[in-house]
Amino acid sequence: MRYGHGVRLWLWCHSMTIFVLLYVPLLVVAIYSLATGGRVPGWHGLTLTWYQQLFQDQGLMTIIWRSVWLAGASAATSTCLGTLLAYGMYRYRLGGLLWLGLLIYLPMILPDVAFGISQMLFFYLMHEAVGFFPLSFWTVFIAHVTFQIPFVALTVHAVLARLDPALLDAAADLYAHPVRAFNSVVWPSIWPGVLGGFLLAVTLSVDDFGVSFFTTGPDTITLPIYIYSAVTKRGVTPEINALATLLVGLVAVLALANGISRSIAARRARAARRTIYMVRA
Amino acid sequence: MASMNRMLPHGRWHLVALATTIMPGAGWLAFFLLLPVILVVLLAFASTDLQGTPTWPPSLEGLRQALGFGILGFSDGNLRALARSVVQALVATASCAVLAYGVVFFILSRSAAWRGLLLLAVVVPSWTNQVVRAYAWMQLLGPETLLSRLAQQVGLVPAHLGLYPGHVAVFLGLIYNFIPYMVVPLYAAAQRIDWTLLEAGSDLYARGWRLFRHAVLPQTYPGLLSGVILVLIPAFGNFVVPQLLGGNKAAMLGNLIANQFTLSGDWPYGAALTLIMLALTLLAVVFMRRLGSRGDMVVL
Repeated sequence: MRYGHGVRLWLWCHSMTIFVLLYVPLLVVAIYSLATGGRVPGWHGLTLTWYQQLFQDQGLMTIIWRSVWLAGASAATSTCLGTLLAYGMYRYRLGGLLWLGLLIYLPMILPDVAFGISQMLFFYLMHEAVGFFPLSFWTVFIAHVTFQIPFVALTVHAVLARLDPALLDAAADLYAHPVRAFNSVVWPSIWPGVLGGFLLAVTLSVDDFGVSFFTTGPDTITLPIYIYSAVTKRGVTPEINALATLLVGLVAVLALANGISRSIAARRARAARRTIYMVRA
Repeated sequence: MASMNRMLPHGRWHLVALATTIMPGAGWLAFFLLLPVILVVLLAFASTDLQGTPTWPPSLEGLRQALGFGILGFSDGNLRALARSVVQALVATASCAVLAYGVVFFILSRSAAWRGLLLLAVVVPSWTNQVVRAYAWMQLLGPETLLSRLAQQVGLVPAHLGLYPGHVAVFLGLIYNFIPYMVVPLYAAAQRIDWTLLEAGSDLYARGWRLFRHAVLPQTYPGLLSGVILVLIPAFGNFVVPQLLGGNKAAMLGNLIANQFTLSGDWPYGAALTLIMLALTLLAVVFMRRLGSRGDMVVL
């Protein structure tokens, strides 16, 4: 009721245009991936040919599995490191932690290219100097963990910040060992948030192109790099449409899982707070 | 006071706890992030030997080259690419801001149940791979498509040419990529808006732009600033969108850097270009923070 009718109509039209523009490009890719001709002008019906071709391509399957494995492994590692980091920052808010804040914000403001290049140079020079880290799967893995840690840490920290500090005080008053306090007080109320952090890290890994592009070896390319080089060489093709559609579908599933885990996290934090007030009363 | 626990670790146990919680992550970031960045900065000042490998003593050759002074004399190609990056990023950021305000106030006008969903709907496309997003626009903007035909009719592009590849495609691609980063912080700020100020404004017969400038803008200013940082920096440093959607004419700073490390391999030169990108990025962040710290002092 706050807006006048004109403003309301205008906002509606404006926003609908934006929403349409946000989804039409992805929808068009999905539709083309199902068209027999590969393009709408040659539309003679629906087909799954392009998907079949994808799944018969052994080289491509290896690349897909590598990307999945990379996303899972790097997200698991960064979730462990990021969660510990967030918990440490939450419990020990020392003035000296400013440097930590800078360290955490640095990867978030670094442009992709700058990040990728610096990683590549580092791995290359390390390899020259001590023989570690030839550009390979493990260098991409390390780079992915590096850019995921800050996002996981901030996600988990946000969940921790919603926790009632009285919970920890209560645990300490009852002489709980810090490990026990974490296990039985903190973890039960933050795990959905940690899961959310993990899913965000997976999403970031799947979404990444720039960093992988510079840090992977020639024999260990990931799916986005495969798509990129196919697109720069051959332009728009039905196979890439199918592949892109699969990737978009995967992200949609991740988005859904993320949304659910977040709403569980919020509910748990509220429930924990309610419990402590009931105990106090 | 048990809550003192949170403030100061005491005893040996807490030091152990500090080391096991913060140190692994912080150590990882310091080793795999800070060190490489320092390395790039150093490399920007390295010189190259006859084989083209970077060596010491330091020189300013890389920076000179980055500014356009090559073996063949001065060329303004690099400075043009730099200017193009700045302009593209600024225009994309401004457009994102204008578009985002409309979307944010639309979302706010919906019921609480819809708001979260609509916000998610804005964000989800940005989770797909940016190569896929650019690829999607390639199909929509090719020479034979509806949008390109329309642009040909209006005279935006010559006949038989598409919107892709070109500046328009890069511009659209950047907005498409980064508009969620503007919508989310703006929404967070707009949620807390004091609507009575808007009512007061409209009671005083303020309309349109004046109402926006005096009642909406000051209240959403912090959100707008974070949105600007979140859009401006990645748009400035982006190299996938100009590479895929721009063709040869639309190369940005990111493409120059990428080329140095993938095609030609002059590392100090590439590192110097990266240093310029880092410096401008930091400058933008510091500038924005300054604007932000003045906060409510800004009287518009």
